Amino acid sequence: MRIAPRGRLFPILGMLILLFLALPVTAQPSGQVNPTAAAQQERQLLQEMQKLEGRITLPQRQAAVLEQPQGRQYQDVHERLLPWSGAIIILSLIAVLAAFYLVKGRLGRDVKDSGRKIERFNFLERANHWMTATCFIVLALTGLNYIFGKRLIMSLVGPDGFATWSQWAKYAHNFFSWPFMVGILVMILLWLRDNLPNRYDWEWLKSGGGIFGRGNPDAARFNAGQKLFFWAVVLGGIWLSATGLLLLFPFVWVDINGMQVAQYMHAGMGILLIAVILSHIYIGTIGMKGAYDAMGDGKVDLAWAQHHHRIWVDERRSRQTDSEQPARPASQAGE
Amino acid sequence: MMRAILTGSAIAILLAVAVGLTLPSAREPAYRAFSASSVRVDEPGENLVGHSWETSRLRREF
Repeated sequence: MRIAPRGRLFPILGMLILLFLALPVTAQPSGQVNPTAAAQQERQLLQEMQKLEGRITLPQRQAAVLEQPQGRQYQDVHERLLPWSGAIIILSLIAVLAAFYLVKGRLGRDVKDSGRKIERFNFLERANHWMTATCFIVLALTGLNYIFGKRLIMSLVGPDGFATWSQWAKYAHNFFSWPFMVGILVMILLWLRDNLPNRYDWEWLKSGGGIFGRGNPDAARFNAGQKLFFWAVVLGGIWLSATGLLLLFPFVWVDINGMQVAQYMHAGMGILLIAVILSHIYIGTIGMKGAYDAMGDGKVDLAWAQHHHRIWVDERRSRQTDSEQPARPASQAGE
Repeated sequence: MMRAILTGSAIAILLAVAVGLTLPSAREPAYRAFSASSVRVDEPGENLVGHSWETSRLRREF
């Protein structure tokens, strides 16, 4: 029998002692939970099932969802994509409008007033426009709070103040969305017919509404630019209403992932529509002479109307001429 | 000049208030939707209280 030399025995003994000391750290006594092992199972389950659900006795079955990886995508969109893209789109548009104003000035300033006024929008049209506008301003500000509030307002008013404001902003967003939907429907009823494409639109678009060509292109009641605004507001409004209803009634029509997708679509369209409405506000106030009067008191100068909407003025005159035809004498009317 | 603006804004506020009063009855608040009058916890050995959970013992301790 060969005996190992003493010089080799000591390192082996030392290693055995170290191994013995390390055993309690790595081995788990029976009955204790190994959290790492459970996490492994959870990860496998998540990969195979896309989301983890438990068993619950609550009436709302959606509360059983424990993990839903799309939530991380949602957080990415909410925390990075939305604030960045929203800020770039809105600030770029404001810069473009400011540059346009500096270069072109106020459109239509050369048109001399005739002193005669004609009605452009009746009271119902104007009241509905301003009702929808009021709702849109509330919805836009409270919607932007959702994207930028944490970054812009919380530093000014503190977490508690911001929480209170956001709670009320959410109520306002939910409640003002309904008159907004009503306003969009009434707009469709009032203005759809005049916003259908006609033969003047292409010429109007080619000359950029008179910016690029010589003279002002002909237009009926609404020119092609106004029609684009109308359809953007109507289609964007319907889009916002549909996705908003999905969010307003959680889990009624879609699950948690569906609500996240609805949130992307709602917020994305909201930013685009805010950009569109900013352009509309610009052209309706400082951008064009006489444009505000149309929606203010409903009356515009005849020269302004002939300059921007010659076909509409002509049609209106011919209708008035028809209605001013001499009526049958009273003695015949009763026959 | 301002009549249509004021009327439109007033209608918007009135409709929003009306919705604010009626909408809560059509929707269930989260504290009610995500709760139950009672709860059953299965596999009591695996929950936070553990095997030794007894109502009478808990009452004595607290």
